[in-house]
Amino acid sequence: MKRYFLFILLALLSAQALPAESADSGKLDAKSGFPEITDKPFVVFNEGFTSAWVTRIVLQEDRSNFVIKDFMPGVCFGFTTHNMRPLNSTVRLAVYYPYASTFNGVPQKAKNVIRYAVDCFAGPVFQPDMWNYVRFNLAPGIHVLYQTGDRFCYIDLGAAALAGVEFPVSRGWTVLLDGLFAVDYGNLGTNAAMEPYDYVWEYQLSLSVRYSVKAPNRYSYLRAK
Amino acid sequence: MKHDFTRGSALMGILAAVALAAFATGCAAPSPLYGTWSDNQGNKISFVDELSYTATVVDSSGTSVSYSGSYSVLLNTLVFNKNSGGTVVTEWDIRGNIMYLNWVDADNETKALSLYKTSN
Repeated sequence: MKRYFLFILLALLSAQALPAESADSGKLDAKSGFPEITDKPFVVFNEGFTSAWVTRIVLQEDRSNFVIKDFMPGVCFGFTTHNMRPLNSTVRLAVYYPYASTFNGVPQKAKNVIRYAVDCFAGPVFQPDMWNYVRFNLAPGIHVLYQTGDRFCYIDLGAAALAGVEFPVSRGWTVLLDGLFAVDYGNLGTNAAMEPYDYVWEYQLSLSVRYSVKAPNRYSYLRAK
Repeated sequence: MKHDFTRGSALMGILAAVALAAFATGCAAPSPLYGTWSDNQGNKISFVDELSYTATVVDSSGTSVSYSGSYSVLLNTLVFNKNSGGTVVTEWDIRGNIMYLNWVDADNETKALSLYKTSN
């Protein structure tokens, strides 16, 4: 356990906000008087498929707890800044269809057909400079989920951590595999009065791609000719 | 460059197919109710599939009565529709391998059952 903690600590400490790209020239801008920014900040986008598993628990006495689980496949879209100081940030938006729901493991058929969920995550991103052919993103941040369920409109707000792996396929193309874990406060929606939840958490797994001309991969599996 | 794009998109196609398969099967777990639940008093309930059940419950006079029909689960409510007419509405609870529920017989007598899962 101690070893894992040390590893994570080292990874976070060695994280750099792309320092080589964000160097100033030292010259002062004639107009503003501030140091001239040579590496202009920009954003890179990624989009793909995602799925989320939401667990909501109502603690009970003298019987098993109420455990409501939703499985929601969807699509996601995200962007990450480059050359921003002091840290780069990432924002992730996802839209889901609540496909399956269970109560204590028993599937629940939904009556309401028009159901959807929207999910947003935002936070600073740390990129440990460990390997060239597999890159890591670690991002602690805030998470908000709006979900129209069969019975309630849920609004969950909480803290989340994103851990992502980037596979540089070619110079422009990158495949991203992101995992997200969020612990939320789940009683901001219409369920607050009738069914307040004691614990709400969410797992997400997404597979997305990025195509960027501005931030090409220096190392990639397929070499550009 | 064209060569790269073809191979890259083929790889992405495979990855997308794997992801779609994962999405489709992501929550496909059978209901924990499926199977046969019984106790030493001769009470037994079998949830055959998503729709039907068969049950044998000993009534207050000590005779075994067989039931069959359809059932439905809405949250912690379990509804048995008897083929012989009438319904039993009860709360269900599974803790460990034991299911707790109340059965109501034809004389409107409520019987608290603790049934052990004896087969899947």
